[in-house]
Amino acid sequence: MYISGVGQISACGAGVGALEAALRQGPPTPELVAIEHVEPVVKVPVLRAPAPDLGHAVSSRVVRRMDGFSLGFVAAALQAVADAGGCETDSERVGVVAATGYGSLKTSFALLDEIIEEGDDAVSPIRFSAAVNNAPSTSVSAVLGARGPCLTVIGFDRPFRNALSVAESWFRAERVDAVMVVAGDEYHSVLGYALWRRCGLAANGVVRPFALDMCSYVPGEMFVALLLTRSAQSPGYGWVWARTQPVPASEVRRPGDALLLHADGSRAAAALQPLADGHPDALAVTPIAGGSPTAAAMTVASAAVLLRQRFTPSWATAKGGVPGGLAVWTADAATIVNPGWHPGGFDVVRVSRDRVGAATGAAQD
Amino acid sequence: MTDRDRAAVVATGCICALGATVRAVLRELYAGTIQTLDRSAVRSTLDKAPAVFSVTAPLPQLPLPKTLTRTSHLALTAVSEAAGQVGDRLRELPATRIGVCFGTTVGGTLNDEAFYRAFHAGREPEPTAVSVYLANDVATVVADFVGARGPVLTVADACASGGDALGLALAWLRQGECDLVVAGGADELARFAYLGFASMSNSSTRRCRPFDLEREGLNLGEGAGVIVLEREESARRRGAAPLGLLSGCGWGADAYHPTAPHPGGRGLRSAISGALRDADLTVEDIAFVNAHGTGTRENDRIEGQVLADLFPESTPVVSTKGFTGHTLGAAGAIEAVLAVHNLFDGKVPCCAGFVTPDPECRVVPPTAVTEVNGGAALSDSLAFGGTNTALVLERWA
Amino acid sequence: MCVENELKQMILNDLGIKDIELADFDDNMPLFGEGVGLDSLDAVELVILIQKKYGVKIETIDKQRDAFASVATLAEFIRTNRADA
Repeated sequence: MYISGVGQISACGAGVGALEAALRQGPPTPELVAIEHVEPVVKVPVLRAPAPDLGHAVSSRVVRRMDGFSLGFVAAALQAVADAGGCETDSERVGVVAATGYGSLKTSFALLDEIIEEGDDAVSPIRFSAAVNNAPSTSVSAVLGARGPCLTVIGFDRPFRNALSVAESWFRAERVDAVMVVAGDEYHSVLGYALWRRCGLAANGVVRPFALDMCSYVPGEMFVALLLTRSAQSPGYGWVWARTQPVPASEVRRPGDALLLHADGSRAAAALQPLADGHPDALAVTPIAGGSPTAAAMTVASAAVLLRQRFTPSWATAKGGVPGGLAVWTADAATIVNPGWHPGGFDVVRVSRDRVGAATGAAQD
Repeated sequence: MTDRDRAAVVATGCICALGATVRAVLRELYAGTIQTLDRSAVRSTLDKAPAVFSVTAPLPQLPLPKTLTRTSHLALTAVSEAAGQVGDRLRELPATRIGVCFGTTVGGTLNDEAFYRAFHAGREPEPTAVSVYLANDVATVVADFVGARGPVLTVADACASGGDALGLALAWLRQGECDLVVAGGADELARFAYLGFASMSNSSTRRCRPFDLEREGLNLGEGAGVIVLEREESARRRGAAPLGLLSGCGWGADAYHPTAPHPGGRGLRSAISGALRDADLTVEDIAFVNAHGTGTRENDRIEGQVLADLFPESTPVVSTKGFTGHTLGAAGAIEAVLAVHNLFDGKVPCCAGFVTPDPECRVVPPTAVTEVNGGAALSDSLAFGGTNTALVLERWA
Repeated sequence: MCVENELKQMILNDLGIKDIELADFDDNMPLFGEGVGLDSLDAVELVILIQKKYGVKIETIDKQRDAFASVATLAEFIRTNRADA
């Protein structure tokens, strides 16, 4: 599958240009956000995304009932189409797969607020329809006119990786010529509250990906879209594939690949220690957007940008470096590694300039 | 293995309002048993409380180290039943060659209202509810239960989730991602969904009446359906006696409206023709259709018209939601289980709740158990937002 | 503010209708189909909004089709049926 276009909205801002700027200049500073309903006030670090702005890209009639969560997916998808230089999406040969961990938190809890404050008969039908877990994918499908397969993958460990696998299986089955893969998660006080109570937050308010013996998690909001096509579209980014089976540490990295560890400061990221130890040149870009069930999408998008723009942000290395300090990027492929959901293996996604390097048969590679 | 190969249905499991096992469910289905209308299974202060179908059978105790949500518990009950039929296969295959693909809707949301009310009131409750939520991704729960370490994926595609999970499982087998898949769907009754559907005037205070002239809306239900799939050639080689085959899957999106189906049913048409093409069959090969048939005015009208356009009038169109309620993420899976067994048994149940034809729906479902003689069936699901999934199932021969 | 104007604000703000200016929103414009162009999802949302604001319970739109023809007919229906009338 070829990454023809990238879109994103996160604490870096909106658009792949904002992502590139953050990679060059260094990550944004998390905000301190008060947890609702907690007294005295407790503030937790969060990397929040700006409200999506579709501008005049879509008629207000089409999007008027979408909530902020669905709009985030739609905005990122439209950015990816524009980034690809346009793409015919009004077709039965175009699919959409969305990935999320928590779904539309803000709308779901706003609905519960309505029930609590106004009663069981006060539920807004428009809000409810937006809270349904597949609202983002069907919203993207409606805006793009994509009438091929459309579904939503959820989970807390690997939803984005799974979404890539779904897209891959559709391409292999020749059901599609393009797939819009969009991943997103929001922040809500309930999440902040649970993290705070469970001591799951960065003590000093920033993600320190290589401090794998401690918790430095900062929840982040982000929406990331990859427009994947069957053939390479110029200029594009590279070929991407996701290994279905977990991979042992010794097989994670191909010679010559750059290595990006999706080390998000969570306790689970400690599983990446052997890779951090064995690969001192590994990068971790998670501070740019923080952690969420789908944040791996941001690391993959970052890898795609670095592969194309050919710079290495020294702030993202284990040794660290001054924000803005850049080194040359020489690799023709990047491997992105997540802690596997089961001990003994890692989840691997690879982005490569070279199609031969991106295996055609994931299970056999 | 090619992209048109079929998958053998080597085990099934089911729990819903009709019963806690496949055998119990089928017995009540053919007997035409309908659960007494229940308005108390979901607590609410609504004046006109919609009716629901609930699982009244006690769920078995399961030896697990963690707190299960009801959705997980329903899933594992049906998985347990299915796993018991393929225990040998589960033991002999390497864990990385076993996959799990499951659909859910309610099961994917944090809907512990008691916790949220306490949080909202500033009482700073223990966030146990959040921990339970994070530990209950349904496909992960099932994978841990059966010892699967291959591909594991949860689909949350509203009412099409269960069908989607089966379609993805078929693709995994065709593409060699694993050798056995425990696939299905599960959902529990929940206030959030109950109140949401009520607010949309989509649910009925009376029994749902799929395709009926007087239909007023759906009844939510709960349950789980499980199908264990293996490549056909592998099942044949080891002399297995499967219950049937999953031969094809089609998908199509309306790309039209957040809740209403496309007036011409374009996504459904695309999904059905895609499924038939995928199975290398035609409409004439289809002995019956297990329709989505929720009992809402819009769904049944549009789905009925599409089915009447595509299939001969002689092809029975049955909705089983008059027996199970609309089980959301479980629906596509439960209905595939029922379709497999109906093919095996050579008969379809009556369309419970249907009495009077609606000329706008065009289809006229059977009002009694009806013999069917063909080798294939179609099961379709239409989800909020206009995603449509169709599956083709066949008899084992 | 009279009920007609409240309903128009409700429709423009809560239903997100951005392509009609308040000044151009005629009381007799058809609400559904041609005119304001609302659909079934808007209809059920209006039922809830009207219930919350005016205490008027509407069982289903189907039973009150005439009332939902326009802002004028809806305002009249509300005035006739509101709890504090």
